[in-house]
Amino acid sequence: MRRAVRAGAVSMTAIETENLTKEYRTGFLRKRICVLSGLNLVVRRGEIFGYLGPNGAGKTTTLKLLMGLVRPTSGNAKVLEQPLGDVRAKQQVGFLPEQPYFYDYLTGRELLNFYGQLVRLRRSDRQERIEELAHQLHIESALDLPLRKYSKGMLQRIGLVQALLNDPKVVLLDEPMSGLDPIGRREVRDLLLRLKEEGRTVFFSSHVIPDVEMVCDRVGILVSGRLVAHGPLDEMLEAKVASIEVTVSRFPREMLHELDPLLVRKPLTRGERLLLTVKDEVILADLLARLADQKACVHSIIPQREGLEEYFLRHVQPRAGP
Amino acid sequence: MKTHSVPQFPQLVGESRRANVDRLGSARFEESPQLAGGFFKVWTIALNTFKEAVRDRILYAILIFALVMLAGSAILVTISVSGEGTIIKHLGLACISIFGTLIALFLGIGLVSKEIEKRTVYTIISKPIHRYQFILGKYLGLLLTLLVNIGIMALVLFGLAYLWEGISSPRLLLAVLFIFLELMIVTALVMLFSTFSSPALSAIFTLCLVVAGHLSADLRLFAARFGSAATRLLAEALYFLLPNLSRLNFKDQAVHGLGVNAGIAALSFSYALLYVAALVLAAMTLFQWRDFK
Amino acid sequence: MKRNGLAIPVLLVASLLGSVLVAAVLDGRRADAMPEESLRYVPDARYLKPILLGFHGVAAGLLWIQIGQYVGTHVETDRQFPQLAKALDLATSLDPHFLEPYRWGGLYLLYLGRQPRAAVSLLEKGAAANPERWELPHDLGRYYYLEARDYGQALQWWERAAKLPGRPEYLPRFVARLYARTGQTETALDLWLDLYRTAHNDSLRSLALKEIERLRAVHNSRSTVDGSGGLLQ
Repeated sequence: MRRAVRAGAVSMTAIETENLTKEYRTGFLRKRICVLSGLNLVVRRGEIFGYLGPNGAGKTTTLKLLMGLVRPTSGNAKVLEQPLGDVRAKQQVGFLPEQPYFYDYLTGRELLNFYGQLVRLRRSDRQERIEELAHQLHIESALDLPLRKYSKGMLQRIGLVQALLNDPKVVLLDEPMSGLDPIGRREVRDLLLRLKEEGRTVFFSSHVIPDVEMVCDRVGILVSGRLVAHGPLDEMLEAKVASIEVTVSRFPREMLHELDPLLVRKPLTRGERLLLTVKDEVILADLLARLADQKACVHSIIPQREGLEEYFLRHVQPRAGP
Repeated sequence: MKTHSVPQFPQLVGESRRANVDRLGSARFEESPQLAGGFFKVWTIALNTFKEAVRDRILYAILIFALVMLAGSAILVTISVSGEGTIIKHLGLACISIFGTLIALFLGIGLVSKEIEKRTVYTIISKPIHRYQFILGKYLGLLLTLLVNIGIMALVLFGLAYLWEGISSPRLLLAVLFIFLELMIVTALVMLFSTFSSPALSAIFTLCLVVAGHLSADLRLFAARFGSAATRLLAEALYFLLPNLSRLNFKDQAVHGLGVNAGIAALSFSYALLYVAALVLAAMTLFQWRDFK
Repeated sequence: MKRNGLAIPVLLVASLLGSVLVAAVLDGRRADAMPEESLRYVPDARYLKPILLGFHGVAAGLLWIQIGQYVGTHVETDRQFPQLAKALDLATSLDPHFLEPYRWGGLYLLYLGRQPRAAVSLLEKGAAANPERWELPHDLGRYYYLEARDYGQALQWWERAAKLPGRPEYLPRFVARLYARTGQTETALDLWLDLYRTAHNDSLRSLALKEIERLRAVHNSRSTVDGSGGLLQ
C-alpha cells in the first residue's frame, strides 16, 4: 500500500530549479564572481539526491538559495511547489547547514526547544519528539550540556535533530558527513536511507564520493558553478564495465602465453594465484573454457565498473588545469 | 501503516518508544490563527535574545557598576550642605540614562551582525519564519533586557529618593519612562547599524547619532542664524531626520517637581514611538535584502 | 511574499513622515509652553562637574554656545535675561580658564542684562582664577572707569593689568592719564573704539558706536585734539 503511494509521489517534484544563477560582487571594484550559473535541476519526491562537487563548486550556495538565505541573481526555483524562502515551504523543509553552529549559551535541550517553538510543534509532545530524535542520533546523553562543550561531531548530530524536528517532507543537508568519524558516517548513511524509507526526500551535498555512491538514487555533479552531469547513478556508471578480473590457481605456467591474445593486461602473479584481466563477457567465456581445459581452479570473477570516482575525476580534471 | 514505526536502530532501552518519529506526518503542530502564530514566533526569538543577554557577563558588569554609582551618590550627598534630594535624583536619572545607553550599545552592536557572522542565523531563517519577524524578535528581546535593567535601577533610585525626601514623585517615573523611550530609539539605531555593519562601526555610528540627537536643535538654530540658504535647508532636513533626543528629556522637570504639559508629554511619546517604528522598519528592509554569504 | 515585500517600505515611509509631522507639531507646542527652554533649568556646577567624567571643558564650550543662542534670541524678543548670570557662572565653573564667558558674558550682563553687580562678580571670579591674564583686570578697570566712574578702582585694576604679559600697548598710557586725572574723554573714546573693533555681536557694536559718537561730540566741543576723530570715519 505504501509502495503505491510512493509510486504516485515519485512523479511529483520536490525541488525544481530553472536557470538558477548567483553572482557575488567582491572587492573594491565590485568584481563579479559567478558562483552558480544556470542551474537546472529536478529532485523528485521520495528520492535521495546526491549533490556532488569539489570544494568551492557552489554546492553550499545552491542550498542557501533553496533555503532563501541568499537571493538568486537570476533564474528561479521552487521547493515543494513554493517560491524561494516561502514560509509555508519552510514549514515542511529541514535544513542542516555546513559545519553548523548554534547559540553556545544554550543547552542542547534548550536549543531544540527553541527550534521546536519556531516550527510550532505542539507543546504537549514537543519534549517527547526532541528526546526521541536525540535518542536516535545518539546525542540524548548530551542534551543538558551547554552547546559550547559540544564536539564537532555532536554539533553535527544536534544539527540533524533540529533539521528533522518539524517532520520535514524534504531534507536539505549540506555536507552531513563532514566532521564525523567512520562510525558516524555510517550512521548518517543509514539515517539517510531511513529518511527515504519514511517517505521523505533527501537532498544532500558532499565532496566525498563513497558517501554518495552507497545511498543515492540520483546524483548531480557540480563543477565551478556548472552542473556537468545529472541522472540516476546506475545509468551513469553501469554502461561502462571497463574490464573483468579473474583470479585462478593451478594453471600451468608454460601454457600462459596461449592466453595472451585474450588479456588486456599482462597476467599478475601473486604467489600461487594469477590475476587475469579480460575486456568483456564474450572473451570471458572463451577464457573460462580454456581454464576449464587445464583444470585450473577459479577463485573469483570481478567485473571492474567505472566508479563514481573515475567519473568525477574525468569531469573535474579538464577544468582543474591552469 | 502502524508497522512502519518499527525501530530500525538497535534499542538500548527495553521500554516502548516515547514518540513516533519514523513516519512522515508523525509530528503534531499547534493550530492557531496566522497572526497569533507569527507573534508567538517573534516572542520566541525575543525570549531567546533576553536569555542570551542574561547569560552574558557584560550585562552584570554594567548593572553592578550602575548600582555602585547609585549607592555612591547617596554617600556623596552627605558632604553636600543642602539639596541632597535634588542631587540624588539628578545623579540617579543620569546613571539610568548613561548605563541604559551602555547596555543598549554593548548588547545591540552584535544583535544582528553576530548572528550572521557566527552563522546562527542560517538555522533560524531556514525555520518557517519571516525575516522581519526575526528582526522584530531581536529588537523586542533587547528591549525586554533593558526594561528589566532599568526597572532595577529605577527601583533603587526611587528607594533612595524616598529615604531622603520621604515621598517619591510620580514625575520621577515619567522621567524614567522617557529615558526608556530614548533607549528604545538608541536600541533601534544600533540594531539598524548592526544589520549592515560591524560591531565597532555600529557603536561609532550610534554614538555619533546620539550626540547629534541631543544637539540637533542647536545645529538648526546656528544654521538659521549664520548659514546660507542651502545650509539652512540641509540643517532643517537633518533636524527632522536625526533623532531629536532632547525632546524626550524630562529629567529636570522630574527632579525639581516642575509641571509637565500633558499634551507635550503625549506628543513626545508619539514622536518616540513613530521614530522607533521607522528605524525598526528600516532595519527590516535592509535585513530583507541581505545575503547570508 | 509580494505583499510583505512592499508593506515594510510603505510602513517605513509612513512612520518616518509621521515622526516628522509630530516633531513639527511638538516644536510648535514646546515653543509656546517653554519659550526659554534651552537655559530654563541651569544645574549646579558643584555636582554637574563630577558626572561629566572629565568632559567638563567640552560641556563649558557647549554651554557657552547655548548662552550665545540664548542672548541672541532674547535680544530679538523681550530683552530679559533672567538666567544669564547663573548660566555664565556654570560655564565658568566648569572651565575656570575659559575667558570668553567672563569677558563677553560680563559685557552681556552689563549692557544687555543691566546687572552690573553680577558682571563685576563674574569678572572678579575670573581675575581670581586667572591671575596671569591681563584681560580680566582690564575689563574690570573699564567697568569702573566707564560705568561706575570710580577712578580709584579703575586705576587699581589697570595698574595690575598693565604689569601682565601681553597687555595692549595703550594700558600704561591709561594708567599714566589716570594718575594725571586728565583726558578722561579721550580714554573713554579709546576704550569704546577698542570695543567697537573687537565686538563680535551687532548689538554690542551699535552700542559702542552710539557711545563713540556721543563722546566725539563732547570731545570736539572742547575742540582740542582730533586725532582720534579721524579714526571714526
